[in-house]
Amino acid sequence: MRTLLNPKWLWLLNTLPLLVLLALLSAEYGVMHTLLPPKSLLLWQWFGAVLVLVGALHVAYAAWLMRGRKALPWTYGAVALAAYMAFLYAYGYYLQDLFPSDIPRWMVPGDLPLYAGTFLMPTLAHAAAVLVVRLTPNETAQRALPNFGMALAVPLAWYAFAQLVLPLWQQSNSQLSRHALVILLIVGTLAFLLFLARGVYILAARRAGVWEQYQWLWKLLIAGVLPLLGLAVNNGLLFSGRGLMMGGRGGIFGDFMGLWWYGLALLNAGLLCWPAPAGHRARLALYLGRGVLLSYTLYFFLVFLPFLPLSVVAVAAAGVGFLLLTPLVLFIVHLRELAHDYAALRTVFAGRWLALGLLAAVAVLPLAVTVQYAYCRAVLHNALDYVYAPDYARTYHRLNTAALGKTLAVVRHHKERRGNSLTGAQQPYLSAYFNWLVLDNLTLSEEKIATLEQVFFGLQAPREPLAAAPAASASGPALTRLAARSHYDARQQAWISWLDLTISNPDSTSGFAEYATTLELPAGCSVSNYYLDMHGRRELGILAEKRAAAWVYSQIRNENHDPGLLHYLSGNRLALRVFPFEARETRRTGVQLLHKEVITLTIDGQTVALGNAAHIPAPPSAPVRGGVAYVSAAEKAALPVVRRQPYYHFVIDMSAGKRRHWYQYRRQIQALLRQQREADTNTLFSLTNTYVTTHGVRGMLQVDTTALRFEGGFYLDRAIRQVLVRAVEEPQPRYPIIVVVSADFDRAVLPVDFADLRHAYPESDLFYELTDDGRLLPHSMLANTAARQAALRQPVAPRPVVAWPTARQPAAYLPATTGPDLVLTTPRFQVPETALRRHEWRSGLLLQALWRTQLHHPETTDLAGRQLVRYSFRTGILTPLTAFLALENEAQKAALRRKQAQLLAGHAALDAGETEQRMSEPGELGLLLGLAALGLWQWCRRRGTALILPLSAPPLPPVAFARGSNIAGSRGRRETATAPDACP
Amino acid sequence: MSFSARGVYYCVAVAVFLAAKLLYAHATTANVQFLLAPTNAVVGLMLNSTSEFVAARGYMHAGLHIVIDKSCAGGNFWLLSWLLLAGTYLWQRGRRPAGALLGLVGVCFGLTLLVNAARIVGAVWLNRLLPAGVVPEWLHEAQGALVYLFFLVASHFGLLYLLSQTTTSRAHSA
Repeated sequence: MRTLLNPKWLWLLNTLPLLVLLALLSAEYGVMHTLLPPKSLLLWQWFGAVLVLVGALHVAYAAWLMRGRKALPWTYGAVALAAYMAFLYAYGYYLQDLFPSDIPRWMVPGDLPLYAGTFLMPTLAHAAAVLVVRLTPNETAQRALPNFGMALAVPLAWYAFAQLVLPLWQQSNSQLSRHALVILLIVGTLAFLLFLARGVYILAARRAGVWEQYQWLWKLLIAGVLPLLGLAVNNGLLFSGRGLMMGGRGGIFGDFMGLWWYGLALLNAGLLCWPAPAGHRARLALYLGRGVLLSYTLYFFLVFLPFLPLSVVAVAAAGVGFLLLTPLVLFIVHLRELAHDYAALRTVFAGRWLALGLLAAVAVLPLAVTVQYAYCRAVLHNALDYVYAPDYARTYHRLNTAALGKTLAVVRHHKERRGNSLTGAQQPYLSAYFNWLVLDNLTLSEEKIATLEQVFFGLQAPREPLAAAPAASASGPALTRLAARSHYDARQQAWISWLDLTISNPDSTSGFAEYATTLELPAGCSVSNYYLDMHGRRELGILAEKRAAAWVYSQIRNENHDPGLLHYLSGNRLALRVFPFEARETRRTGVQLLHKEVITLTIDGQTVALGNAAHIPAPPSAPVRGGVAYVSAAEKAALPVVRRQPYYHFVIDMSAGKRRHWYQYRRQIQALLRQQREADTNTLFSLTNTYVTTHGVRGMLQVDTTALRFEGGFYLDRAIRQVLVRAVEEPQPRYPIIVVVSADFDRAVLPVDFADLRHAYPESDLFYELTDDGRLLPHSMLANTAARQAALRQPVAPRPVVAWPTARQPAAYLPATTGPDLVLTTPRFQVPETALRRHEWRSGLLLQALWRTQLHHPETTDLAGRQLVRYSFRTGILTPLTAFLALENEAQKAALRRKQAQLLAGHAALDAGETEQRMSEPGELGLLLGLAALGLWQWCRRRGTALILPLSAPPLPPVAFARGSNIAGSRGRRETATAPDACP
Repeated sequence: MSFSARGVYYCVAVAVFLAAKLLYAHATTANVQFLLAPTNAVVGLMLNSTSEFVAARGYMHAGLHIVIDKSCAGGNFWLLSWLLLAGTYLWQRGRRPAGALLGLVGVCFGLTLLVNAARIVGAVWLNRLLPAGVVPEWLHEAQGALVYLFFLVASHFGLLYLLSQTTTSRAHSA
């Protein structure tokens, strides 16, 4: 315990937490400072300056003490306690000014105001410990009981005060009396903790007498009974009606329901109560075992540290309040046992090996947690890759679904935030660590968890209803005017058009209404800008990562401020949302489009033409450059019409529990083929559960039926996408008719639509469900894939298609419609960054081609997705991975940037809407390292000189020292000070 | 000067540095105009480029496709060089430390203008030398770090040299 008097502790317990606190507060201040009133700004600066000042004083004081080889005096403890208590008191007093209530809650973490208390608590605890140690000299015999008595007297005094004095005190409501009350509370708490800690310290330091004789008893109480009792109370096993359970799983301090917590508590008690063995090896084993469990004790010590000041109130108010103090007392006892072990072993083993062993032992539990989390991460990421970034050409090995199930349970468990514990986390610190290590500080949406559960476990979730196209309701805001402004850019031979929307809210009663609509763009048309008028000014949209933009939009919408959002839905369909509309309010918003030809758009039933064919000659056909071709409407009209031969591609449900339907499936398929008189050898079969295995007719005949695996979910989405991507990447004179064979189609994993792959099914946008009686139930691939249409006896007739560039050597088959189209001529399309220009039509086309490549090869999502986002920012053109967001103020923009940096981890330097290169200064870390290297080099040189000079060279005269003082080493430095006096 | 007195100066220097860093971190482009304007003037002179000041962005050189804003004002170099030189001065037990530390603020300001302008001009030359779009971010970072480190080390040894000269001349005159 006396080691706490070493001034080095100040750097660990004060400097480090202060730096973390300053970094956290600084980051939050950076986000919200534009919203703070002048008074709050001044307070932030004052508190920041005071923190920096006291931190610097601590550093300097510790250095000064170390240089003089002095220990921390009792005055330090007293002054530090008084200073930090005063700081915290002032902080609490001005809390409302530091975090005004009008700062949106979503902008700052909910527990931000608690940061100061959490990070300053180690200093307070250390200062208190210094006082206790200094006031309890070893030389004189001390008695523990009076200290416990004094500690107990404090809550008793408070109880009496609350019953007798406080009712009268409340009569006086002056500012002074309130201050006095709070100060009394602080002083009382401090006295309570000091006396208690002193009592425990005296007890722990006793080496003889009754305490020593019955040490197993009090150690059992402190290390075994009280922790187990605390766990039981927190988890609601005892006194469940007293309010420690806050609903849901876990108690007021976190979820410690797992048996591991109890098991570790028992083991810890056993190891701490174990009498010291005589043998050195046994003692070493005990020492290391106690070291392993030290991290357990330390964890609870840290968890309860911020609540220590509440203990006196808890003791006075509730009988079980003293349990709050258990971690503190246990921590002291644990350190004492380790110190005794160390002292005993020091006679046999080298100190550094003992220290190293202890360090390794302490790291065991954190490492075990880390390994477990890392495994969770690997399993989860494999599953996510399989579902969201699959390689359609790859054969996947089965994932460890048992481990995935556990991981998803943990993810869901950690997601259940707010309301369960005081800190908001399921398990304080561990939840944050899990979120950082496994989820990269992001979250896994319920939708994704549900999808993973459907795919890997076949757990049925209610079928997602069709996401209704956001359209204006009859009484809500509606489009009242649609206008267009176009001009032809001869340089890039393309149109630049502004689409201006005037929207009015006819409702005279409802405020905070939202306008939402969708807009279908033709191929080759891109969005290059967006605006929303707010408060009399035109706010241009910020191009941002789509998930970050959607998150910020939803947060702002919750706060009823002014955002506008424009993003791609699926395929070429855009969604536009504006919020809020007050009663009878009219707002204006607009979208800038880049397009090659004259186009006509329809929004909410209103139609507008963009461009003017009369003024501009028909655009020449764009040459095929760099793997992408733009086929204009005119060019397409001249292409040869062809009719491809259909073939059946059966997707068979092999999910868990479907084995008994296998022969029925075969009968259904044979009946259909007989009925259609098809004996086509091109027929394909995809056996689908979590994974998809495709066979031809011959392969299907060779399948060993008994070896088939029926497990997991029916991942129909994957099977259909594989068929479509294969069809478009390997254009054939045949096209697939997809027929799903399933005894339980409603459990199939399906997306809302396959509109993003519409270029892959030019003949028909339907797939079919085969019924027991051999009929075909059509499902649309363009919208609401789960909805059944009227049953048919045979597939619908295909639409005509055109072959591009020639019927003899087709590279693609396109629908024979009047609109333009886009064709990829290489399967792995790449674009060098230098080929992209800002707000240029051709760049928009290249981005669309990149997105299509990513659709065909989702396995490149990680790299290609980030590249596409970067290219989107560079060109200022919207992609399906980005969104335009119009924001009201700088604070909202800062929050967007922060969220975006999180989502694009590793790409935080991306900055939206910026063409000019910033000439930013280099990072200071590199400079500091460089300077440190220089300093080290100089130091080594001086040391070398100092060692060599006395041996090899005669003493230099004072003048020579002065001249070369900078390189003459420490000896030179020392003598330089006296050199001027010594010189004649 | 006693050890404790020197310690106070060290503490003051570090505290001033940290406080200035804190202030600088929260400053806007408009707040650091006193650094940006002369830096921009020097850069414009060296590269024969004209610029336009946009309040929300900084000095924009349309012809060079660069923007000089708060992130490139040189404030970090200013503070770091001051701390380094102040530390060097105190370590070498220079005379009248209070006045010297104040004087170094001005010296470092001038040094920052020159060094930062040299760094920006170097980065622009780098852009011109290599094909467009192929200059990676780390190369800019490395170039900037190299320029800064060179001048930091040079100024450190320069101050050491000056101090030793002063000490020598004082010793001779005594």
